[in-house]
Amino acid sequence: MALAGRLRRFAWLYDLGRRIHLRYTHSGRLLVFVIVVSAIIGIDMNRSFSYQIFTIVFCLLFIAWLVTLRRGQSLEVQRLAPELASVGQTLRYRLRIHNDGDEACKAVRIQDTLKEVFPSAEEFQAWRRQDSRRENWFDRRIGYPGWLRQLAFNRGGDLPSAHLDEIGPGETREFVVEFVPGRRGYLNFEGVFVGHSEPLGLCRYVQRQSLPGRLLVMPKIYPLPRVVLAGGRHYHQGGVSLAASTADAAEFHGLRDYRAGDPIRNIHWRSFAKLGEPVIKTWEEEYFVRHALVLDTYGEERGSRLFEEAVSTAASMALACNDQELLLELMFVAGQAHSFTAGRHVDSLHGMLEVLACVQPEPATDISILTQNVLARGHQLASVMCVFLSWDQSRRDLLDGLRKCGISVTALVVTDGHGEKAVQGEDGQFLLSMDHLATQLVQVAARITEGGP
Amino acid sequence: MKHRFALMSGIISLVWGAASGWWPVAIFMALGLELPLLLRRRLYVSDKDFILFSKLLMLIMCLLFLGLLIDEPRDGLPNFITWMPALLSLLVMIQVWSEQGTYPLRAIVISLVRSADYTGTAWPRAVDLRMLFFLLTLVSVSMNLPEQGPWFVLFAVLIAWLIWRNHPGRRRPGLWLAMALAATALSQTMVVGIDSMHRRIQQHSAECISEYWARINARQTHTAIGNIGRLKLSGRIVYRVAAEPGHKRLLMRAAFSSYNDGTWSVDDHRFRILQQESDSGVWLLQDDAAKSGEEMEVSQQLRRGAGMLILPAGAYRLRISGDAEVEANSYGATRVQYDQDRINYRIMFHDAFATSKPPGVLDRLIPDEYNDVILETAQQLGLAELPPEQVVTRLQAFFRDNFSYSLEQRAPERGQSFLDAFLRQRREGHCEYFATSTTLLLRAAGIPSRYVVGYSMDEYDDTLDRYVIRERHGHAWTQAWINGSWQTLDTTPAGWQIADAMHERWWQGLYDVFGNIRYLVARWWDQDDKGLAFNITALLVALVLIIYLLRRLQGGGISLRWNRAGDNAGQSAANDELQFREVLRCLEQRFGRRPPARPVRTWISTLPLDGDGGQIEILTTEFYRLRYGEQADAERVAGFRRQVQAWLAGPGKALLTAPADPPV
Repeated sequence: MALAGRLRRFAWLYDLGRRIHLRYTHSGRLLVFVIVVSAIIGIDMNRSFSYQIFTIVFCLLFIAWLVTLRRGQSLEVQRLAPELASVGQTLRYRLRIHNDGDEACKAVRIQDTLKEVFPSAEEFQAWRRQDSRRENWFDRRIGYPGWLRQLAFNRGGDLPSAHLDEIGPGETREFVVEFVPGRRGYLNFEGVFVGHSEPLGLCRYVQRQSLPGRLLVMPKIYPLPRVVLAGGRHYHQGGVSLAASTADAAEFHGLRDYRAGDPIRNIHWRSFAKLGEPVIKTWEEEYFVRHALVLDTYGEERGSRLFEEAVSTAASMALACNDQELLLELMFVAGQAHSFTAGRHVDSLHGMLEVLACVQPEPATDISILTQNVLARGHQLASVMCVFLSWDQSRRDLLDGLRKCGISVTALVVTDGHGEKAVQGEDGQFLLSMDHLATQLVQVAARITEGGP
Repeated sequence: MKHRFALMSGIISLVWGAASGWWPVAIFMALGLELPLLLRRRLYVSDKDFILFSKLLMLIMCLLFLGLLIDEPRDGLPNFITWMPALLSLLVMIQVWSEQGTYPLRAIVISLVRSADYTGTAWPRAVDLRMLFFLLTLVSVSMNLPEQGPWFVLFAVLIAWLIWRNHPGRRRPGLWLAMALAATALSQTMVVGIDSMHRRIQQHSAECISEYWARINARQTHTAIGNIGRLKLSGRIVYRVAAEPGHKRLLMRAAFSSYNDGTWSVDDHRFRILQQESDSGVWLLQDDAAKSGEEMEVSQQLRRGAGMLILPAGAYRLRISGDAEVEANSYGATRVQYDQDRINYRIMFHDAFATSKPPGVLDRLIPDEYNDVILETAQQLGLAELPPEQVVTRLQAFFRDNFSYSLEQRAPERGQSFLDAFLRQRREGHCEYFATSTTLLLRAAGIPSRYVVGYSMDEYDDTLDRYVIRERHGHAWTQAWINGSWQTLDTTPAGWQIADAMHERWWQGLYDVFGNIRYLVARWWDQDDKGLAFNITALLVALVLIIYLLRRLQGGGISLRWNRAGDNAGQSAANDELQFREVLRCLEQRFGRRPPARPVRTWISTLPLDGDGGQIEILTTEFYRLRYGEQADAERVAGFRRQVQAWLAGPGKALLTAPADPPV
C-alpha cells in the first residue's frame, strides 16, 4: 500500500512537471522556481526584501498566464512517420505544421507524445531489482529517478520537442523529429502538443491535437555472414503449403497418359478436353529442410539487458539463416508455447522479426513446456539452434533429447560475462558475452557454417 | 556584445558586491564571468572534470552551510544565502571558460552522474547556468539591502532586463512593455498590501514576542510546570568550561524569590554596573573577597554581544579580556555587554562567599493557592519541629525515597494544581517540580529559600579538556538560608542527566564535531601569539588537503588544458566541434542565427540548402558521431577535418557569395 501511494505521488509529480514544461518557457520555468525560493526566504520580511521579488515575478507570470487564456491561433499538425524502426537506432520522421489562423504565431513549440504506461507496484519492484546497478544512494532512497527510467522504457523513448521562431498565417512548415527507440515492440503515438509563446515570453498557449499512430520497433540486429545450418531433408506430410499447419498434400510433379485403375480425381481435365484422351496428374511427396530457432525466455525481468541481447541474437541468427529453400521455425514460451514458421512461401522473415519484436520474458524458471514442445517437433527438424539465457541441467537435457533424435544442435548461451572471445563449452554450446556479441556472433556464425553440410 | 547574457552576470555580481559589502569578491566574480566575452582562450573541460568540480563545490557548500548553522542557528540560512552567489559563480565561471560553453546536466543532477549516455531521453545534455545564477543572486541581494531605498525599482528593472534578453521568439516591444508595466503596477500594489498586513501582524504579535523574550531575562522565569506532553531537550552545546575534572558543580544563571502560577520572579529588577579594577579586566563580585580560591574559565556565545553569565556558588572575582560592561542584581545574577559575540571569562570562587543579598520577606512567602498542599506535606514530614540542618536532610530523603524523575507531564485531575498532583499523587516530574516544591517546603519550615536556575557541569570532554554544557544540562535547584549563608540544595533524584541524555538525537555527535572545530578555530583566533609560521602551516595543510581531495575524487590526473577557440591543430573531439563551428558560422551568415534552444541537426534540416544539403547532412552526421559517439581514431578525425575544409573552401564559399534568399 505504501508503495502504491508512493507511485501515485510519483505520477502526480511527473504530471505536474510535464504540465509546467508544456505551459512555461525556459524563462517562465526559472521564474516559477524563483517564486518558490523567494516565498520561502521572504517569509521573514524584517530580514529580506525577497517578498518584493516574489510579487514582481508572481505578477509577471500571472499577467502572462492571463493572456494565454485567450484562444490562441489554430495550428494543425500532421505526422509523417515510418511504420518500422530498430531499437537503439535513430529514427527520423517529419511533423508538418500548418497555421490556419490569420495571425503569425511566435516561439512555437511542438511536442509529439508517446502513450504513457504507468508501472504497477509489482512491475516497479521487478524493474528496480534489475535497474539497481544504475542507481546511487539518492535514487535508492527516493526511487523517483528509477521510476522515471521505467516510465521512459514503457513509453519507448522521449520525443524531443521542435521549436520555431515564427510561423506566418497560412504557412506550412516541416520538422524532422529524431529519437532513439528505447525498447522493442509497438510504440503508440498519442497526440501532439502545440504551444506558442505570449508576448512576455514566459507562458505558452497550449493546444493538444489527438494524433494516434503506431510504430513497430524491431530488435537490434547484428550484421552476420550467411549461416549454413547442418542437417538433411525430411519427409513432411502435408508438403510445404501446409507445413506450418496440418493436412495431407503433395507436390505436383507432371502429366502422363491414363492407366487403368488411376483415380478419376487425378484426371487433368483441361488436357483431357484438349487431347480427347484422359491425362493423369502425377504427384511427388515432398522432402525439405526444416530448422528450428529456440529462444529461451525464462527467468528474466522485463527490460533485462541479457534478455534483450538474447532476442537480438535470435533475430540476427534468423536473418543470417534466411534461405528460401528451407523452413525456419521460431519456438519460445511466453505465457504459453508459441511457434512461428517462415520460409518457402509459408511466411516472410519479416513476420518472424515482428514476433521477436514483441516477445516478452517468462518469469517462471521451469523450461519443461519448451522442452516438450521442441521434442514433439523433433522428427520434422533437421537442426535446432537454441539461444539460452543460462546453462543448467534442464537445458542440457533438452539438447541431449534432441541429439538422441539425430538432430544437429547448436546452443548459444548469452551471459553477462566479459570475455571478448566466444568460448565453446564442453557440451558443444557457445558461451557469449552480452558486451561483445557483435564480434562473437560473427565468430560463431563462421564456426557453424564450417561444421555445416 | 551580441550574446544574450552579455554583461548580465557581471552587473548582478557587482550589485551583490554592493549589497553584501564584499567588493573584492564581487569584482573577481564579475571579471571571471564577463572576460570570456572578450577573450578567445577557452579551457577544455571533460565531463569528468565538470563532475569533479560540482562534487567539490557541493562539499564546500555543505560544509559552509553546516558551519554557518552551527555558528548562528537562527542566521545560518540567511548567511548561507548571502554567500551562495560567490560559490555558484565558480560553477558558472567553469561553464563560461569551457570550450563547451554549457554545463553538463549529469554533473549537477545526482541521478545522472552514473548515466554517461542519456541521449534519447527528455534530459537535455547540457544546461546554461547563467540565468539561474542571475536570479539566485538577485534573491541573495534582497537579503542584504539597507532598509530604505528604491529596491522595488531595482528588482523590477533587473528582472525585466532578464526576461527581455531571454525572450524565446521575435519580440513585440510595444505589447511586451505594456504587459511588463501592468505586472509591475500590480506587484507594486501587492507589495503595499503585504507591507500593511505585515505591520498589523507584527503589532498583534508584539505582546507574545515580548513574553517569549522575557523568559530569558533575570527578572522572571517561566517554568514548564503546567505544560503537558514530553519536554523537548536540545543537545546544543552552550558553554564550555575549563575546570578541574571531577568537581561537578552547579552554575547559577539567576535566582528568584516569588512564585506565582508557574512563574518565578524577583521584586528588585535593577542591575547595578560593576566597576572593574583600574582597567585590568577584573571585576570584583565580592568586596571583601580573599585572594585564594578555585578558578574556572567559561566560554560562551553571546547574542548580539549581550547575555547572562553563569557563575558557581561563591564567585568573587571575574576576569574578561576586552571591552566589557558587567552588571549584577541583588540576587547574584550577572550579565555582560561585550564587543564580540563570543566571550571567555575566568571566575575565581570560594564556597564560603555568598553572592546575593540576605533574605527578605518574599523569600519566606508561600503563595495562597499552594498553602494547603505545602503545609500539609510539611506537617506530614514534621518539618516545623526540626532544626534547619535536619529539615534539609529530611527533604532530601523524602524526595529521594518517594519520587522519581520524568520528562513526561500529564494533566492533573479537574480542580487540582500541578504541584498538588506532583506532591500528593503522581510523585514524578522534572527538576522544576522538585526545586519549586523544595523551596516552598523550606519556607513552610520557616527557612528562607530561593529558586535558582542555571546549568549542571556534568559532561567532561577529554579531547577539549573541558566540561561541555548543553542546553539539556539546564537545571533548577534551591538556595536555603541556613546559619547565616545561602546553601545550595538540589533534591532532584540523581541520574536525571542520564535520563535526559537518553533522548539525545543521533546526529548530535556530528553536530558536536563541527561545533568543536569551530570552537578550536575561534580559540586559536583569539590567541595573541599566533604567528606567521602557524598561518603558513595552516595554509599549506589546507592546500595539500584540497589537492589530495581533488585527486581522490577524480581518481587520476586532471585533464584541463587551454585551447584557442577555432584552433585547428588540436586532436580532441572538442576541437572538431570548433571546426564544425566554422560550418555553422557560415550557415548562420547566410540564413540567420540558429535559435539557441534548437539542435544543430534540426536547424540544418530546415534550411533550404538544395544541392548542398546532402553534403552538409553527411558532415553533420560525422560530427555527431565524433562528438558524441565512440572514440574515433586519428585517421577518421583527419578525414573529417579534410571534408570540413573542402566544404568551407567550395560550397561554403559559394554559399556566402550567392545572392540572398528570403529568410527562412
